[in-house]
Amino acid sequence: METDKEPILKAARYVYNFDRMAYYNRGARKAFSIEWVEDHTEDELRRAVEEPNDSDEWQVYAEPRPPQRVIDKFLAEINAR
Amino acid sequence: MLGSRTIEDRLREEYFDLLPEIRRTALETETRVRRDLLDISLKLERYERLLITSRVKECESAVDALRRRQLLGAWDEERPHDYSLTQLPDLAAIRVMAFPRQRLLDVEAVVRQTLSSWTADPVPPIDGLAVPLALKYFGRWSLDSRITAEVQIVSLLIGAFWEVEHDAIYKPNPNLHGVMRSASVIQPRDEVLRALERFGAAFEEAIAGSEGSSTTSSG
Repeated sequence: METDKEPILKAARYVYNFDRMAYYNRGARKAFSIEWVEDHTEDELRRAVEEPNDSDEWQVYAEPRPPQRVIDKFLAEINAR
Repeated sequence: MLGSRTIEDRLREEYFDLLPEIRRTALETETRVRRDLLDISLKLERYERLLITSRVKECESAVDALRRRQLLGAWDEERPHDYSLTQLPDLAAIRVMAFPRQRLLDVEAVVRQTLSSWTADPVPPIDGLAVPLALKYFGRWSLDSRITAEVQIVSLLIGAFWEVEHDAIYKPNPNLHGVMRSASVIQPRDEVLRALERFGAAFEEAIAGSEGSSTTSSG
């Protein structure tokens, strides 16, 4: 991953999970797969991080989108931490 | 009970079914590469090095490598038959390490011909370096083979660093490969690679500009 993207995630208090290779922030209820971060520009990442999540649901940024059961398992894991 | 087997368990069984074929593929790849590089090996100056190592990916390393290729690093438990270790491109792998750079270029020219039908997958250059860190090819020796082999060609110092890194960090804990996707780790690692390249180039230059018994062939 380009070194200029990680500071955006770190500044927004995202944690990197190296087993799942994803960044997440429980407070913001958002997660980004490493592939999504690598495949998008710095601006796209910044916009996605800054966009408010007004719902109670997690927003998971991953392309192609994994089946919902895989996302549910991932969220259960990080919620259990 | 068959129904309770995990995807990992199924893949471990597959691994041991494939293992004899993986070993044969590693041996065949190493033998073919050594044969093709024999002329270069025989003409090496005393200070020049050509090292060829081969490895068979270990079971847990293979299972974890396949998991890391899945989205969010997770299996889809509803689709266990989507996964096979034969999807990995490096169950059997050869690394050719050469010093100095001219020998590396000689090796690349020979191996490129041998593997002309394989897929080239170079390791891209890092900031500050003009050329790929390593050349990589993957392919199969025969149409009916289930095993994809990888051949990697790299400078001696970087190749040696990768071997140490693998043995010290990833071999005991294959899942730590995921750490290397993080920029905070990539940056200092790239600094090591740049330093090794600089050191190799300076060493090579110093040898070329000097004379001594270590630089003359015994022939």
